[in-house]
Amino acid sequence: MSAAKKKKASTPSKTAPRQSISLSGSILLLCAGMLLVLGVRANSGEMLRLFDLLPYLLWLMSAVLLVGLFRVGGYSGSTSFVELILLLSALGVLVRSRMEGSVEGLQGWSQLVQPLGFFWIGVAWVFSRKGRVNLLRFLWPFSFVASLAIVAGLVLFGNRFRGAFYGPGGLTPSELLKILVPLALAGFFASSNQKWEGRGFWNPPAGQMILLVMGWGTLCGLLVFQRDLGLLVLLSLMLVVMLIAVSRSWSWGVLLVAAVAGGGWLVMTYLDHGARRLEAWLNPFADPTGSGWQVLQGLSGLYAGGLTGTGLGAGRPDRLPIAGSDFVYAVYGEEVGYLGCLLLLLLFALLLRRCAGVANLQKEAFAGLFATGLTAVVAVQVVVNIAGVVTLVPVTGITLPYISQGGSSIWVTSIQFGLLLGMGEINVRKKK
Amino acid sequence: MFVRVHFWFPMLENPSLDFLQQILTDAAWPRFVLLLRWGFLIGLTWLLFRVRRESWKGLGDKSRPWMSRMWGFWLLLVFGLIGFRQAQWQLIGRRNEQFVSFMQRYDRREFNPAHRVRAGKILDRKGRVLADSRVTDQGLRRLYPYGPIMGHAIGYNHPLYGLTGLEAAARKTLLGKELESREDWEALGAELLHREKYVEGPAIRTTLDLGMQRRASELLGDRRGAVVVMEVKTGAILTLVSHPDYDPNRLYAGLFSGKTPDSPLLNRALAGQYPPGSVFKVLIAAAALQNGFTGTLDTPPEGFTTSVANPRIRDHEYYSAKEKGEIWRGHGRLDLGEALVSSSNVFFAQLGVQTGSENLWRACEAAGLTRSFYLWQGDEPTLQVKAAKIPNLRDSAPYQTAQFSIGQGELLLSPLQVTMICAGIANQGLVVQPTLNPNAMTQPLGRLCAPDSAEKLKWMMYNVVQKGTGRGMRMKELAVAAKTGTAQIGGGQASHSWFAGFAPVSEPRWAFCVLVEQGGYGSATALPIAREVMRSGIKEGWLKP
Repeated sequence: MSAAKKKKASTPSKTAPRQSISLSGSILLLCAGMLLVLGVRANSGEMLRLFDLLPYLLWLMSAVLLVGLFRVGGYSGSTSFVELILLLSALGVLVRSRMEGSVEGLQGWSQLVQPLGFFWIGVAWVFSRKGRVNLLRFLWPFSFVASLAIVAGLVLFGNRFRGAFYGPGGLTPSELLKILVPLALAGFFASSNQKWEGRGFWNPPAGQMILLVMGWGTLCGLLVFQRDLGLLVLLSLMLVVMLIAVSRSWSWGVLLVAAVAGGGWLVMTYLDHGARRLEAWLNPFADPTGSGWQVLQGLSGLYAGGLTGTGLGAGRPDRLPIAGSDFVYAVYGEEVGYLGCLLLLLLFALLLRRCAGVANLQKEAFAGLFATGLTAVVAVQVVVNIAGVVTLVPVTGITLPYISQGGSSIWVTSIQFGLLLGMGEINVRKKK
Repeated sequence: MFVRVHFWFPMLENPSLDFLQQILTDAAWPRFVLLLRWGFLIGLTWLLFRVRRESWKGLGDKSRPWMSRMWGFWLLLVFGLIGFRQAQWQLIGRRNEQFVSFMQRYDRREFNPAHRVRAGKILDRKGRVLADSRVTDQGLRRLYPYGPIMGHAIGYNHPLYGLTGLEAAARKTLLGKELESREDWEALGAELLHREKYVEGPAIRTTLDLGMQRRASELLGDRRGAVVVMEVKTGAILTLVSHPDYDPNRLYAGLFSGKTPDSPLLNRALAGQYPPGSVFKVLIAAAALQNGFTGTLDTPPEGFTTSVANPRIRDHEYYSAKEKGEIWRGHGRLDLGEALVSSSNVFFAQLGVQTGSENLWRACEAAGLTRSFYLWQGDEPTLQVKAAKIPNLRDSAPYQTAQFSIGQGELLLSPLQVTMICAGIANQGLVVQPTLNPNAMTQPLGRLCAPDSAEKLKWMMYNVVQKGTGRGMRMKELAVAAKTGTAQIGGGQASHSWFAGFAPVSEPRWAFCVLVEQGGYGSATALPIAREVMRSGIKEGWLKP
């Protein structure tokens, strides 16, 4: 412990000079957005009260606390990584506070979600930094079993689980798979990464491959049973990314093509619900008031927003079904316009690039693969959600990290960010 | 918010923010909103560009980069695709006419610019406005200044009942969907920047003539029927009237329930199916001439049949004589011209059987009766003319052929198809596809007969007007060739009344057809309508006498 501290103190960070994390930009942006949102409310005849400022004040307080924690704890990683996370969370708070009262499912307590998310970032950061994340390595079989247990539990006691956990404040248990499954896969691959190295799709290490197929088949089977197609797609895409990373062979991308073709066929033939979504994607105008309704209302909102948007607070998210979670991007796009959407995409791209860079810093195979897996989970969520809204892919019911409502999604993403922040500290790298 | 938070923290005060309220509701606030909106976008841009480029070079274990380099490229690619797809909806969504009509119908955001995208005007051949878009209290509405007169010809565009007819077929053109020239792109850019302006698509011109259309509609009155006038060389339709009609300005749910006995939404001119009766003899004559028929046939007073089992086909004079208690002595031997003038059933039944089912079928094909086509080649399959109902003729079933030859039996045509037969004869045997689009290429549908046969037939039909059943059509100002028809529909109901032909005879320009459902004799009911429509055409200045 003391050795580690000494190392840290003696590390001259020439390559990435330490700078303090700046909150001012995010605060200014949040204030501008807040004034816009409250302005619309005040002009519609609503009396503003102190608690209307609550979401913004809570964000401010918790963000200051988080930055304070980083400073006290001696955060030595990328400062812009933290700033991007804070900026994203500020945008999320704006969009959610804006939907409050007009969109079903958002209630007063939901303002606590983001502050608690910052708490989870702190916890995960403290836990994972200084190489401690590698302790998780040997938990991978338990992690896999826990994943299976969660899904199996949902299949068996689905209603009870939903009744107990779908409500406000609870955790949707299957969200935890977004951490447990990357952990399980990273541990599995780390235990045999020499065997995988350089092996393409055509000549995988046989024994390992059989284990992987069996394990994955069980998990996927359970997920299909549970009808959680979104999670299935998300985890499968993450598996492909991790396979490419561990084998350093692009040939695993073939799996992606095969999965898209096979999965599309399966959905079309066996799942009513999925088939309707596919049809709505291929031609939303075939049934504009039925299966195409939601997608088209989202697109109408985007079109109404146009290039620069209606201004925050001035859109009509109440016109859009499931505006809060699946289609939050349409709400955002309606109010800040195409330009604002491009900026959000840029923000996500920069953030994900930093997440991906964390893997590059790891010495241990496990940590590198775990970071890759976590990055993949976040990236796939962003891409699949947004691409679904703009009809590039079918709608899958995946939320947009940090922007969509829903405590569990935000908290799990927070833990992922926290883990990546802890792993991404440079002094860990310099430990020889 | 107040109530909800107090549910959780009942002990807390929740004072009102008068200061903030005052600022936000100040008269100057809207100007700050613009500033803030742009400030938000510019600030976000600035924050993102300010993000420090941290260099992780030399930090990673080069032998194990975990493929982290791949992220930059793939993220760029996927986000680029997303941005591109999004622009197709968000920026140039107006080019997607399905999307625009969805928003106009179902989007309740009053600020959505789609509600201000107006379809262009529809004009008649003189440029008179037949359909226009106006902004009303209930949003954007399509207005039809001439109401029911143009209802069947151009259809309707209604927020509740949807689109049909020309409104549907030319939807994309009317909304200005094409991005062909630089001006189109400039207009698109202007639209994006000044979104509160109303945008109107380009106007389209049709071949219809309002004056003739109005006259035909007046003359039909409350009788059920149809009037078609079309140019023989181009297929351009001047008149397309169908009664009963409906007012596209005043649609109501009852129209669509299918319970109205007269089915006013049915465009009888295109989609009505009627036995053509004697007007069909013109086609039989063309087929016979084409197959080298000359000479005469005997028309015995007792009529004609192909076997004892079948009732005899007789001339109508037989029946009128019988009614008066006289005896009909028959026309005797007739040549084709005389038979057409006297409209002898006995003659044409024999002529058809003699010509042969194969040749008759070929004539129907050549007249375009077996083809299905659209009056406006556009985006939606409306204004469709479906193939006629033609019985399966066989030489082994000659009685069916005989019935077919006098326009009875299972044969069913629409008034437009009868017009096409006449237009073919007038146009030296060549039948062209009817259209409402003045810019459409002339499409030949088939060659009914050789030019010399057509020339002969033309003068025979002229004689029908001069000496035969069409005498009422003799006019000083216009030499018309035509044929009457009185099609029996059985069940003791009055016959359908037909009158079809073309004018002027020496150099035909127009073919026409009038049908009055259960109107009795063609010469009595349909003919006067045709005469007055022709006169109104002269008055409109389209036809020099």
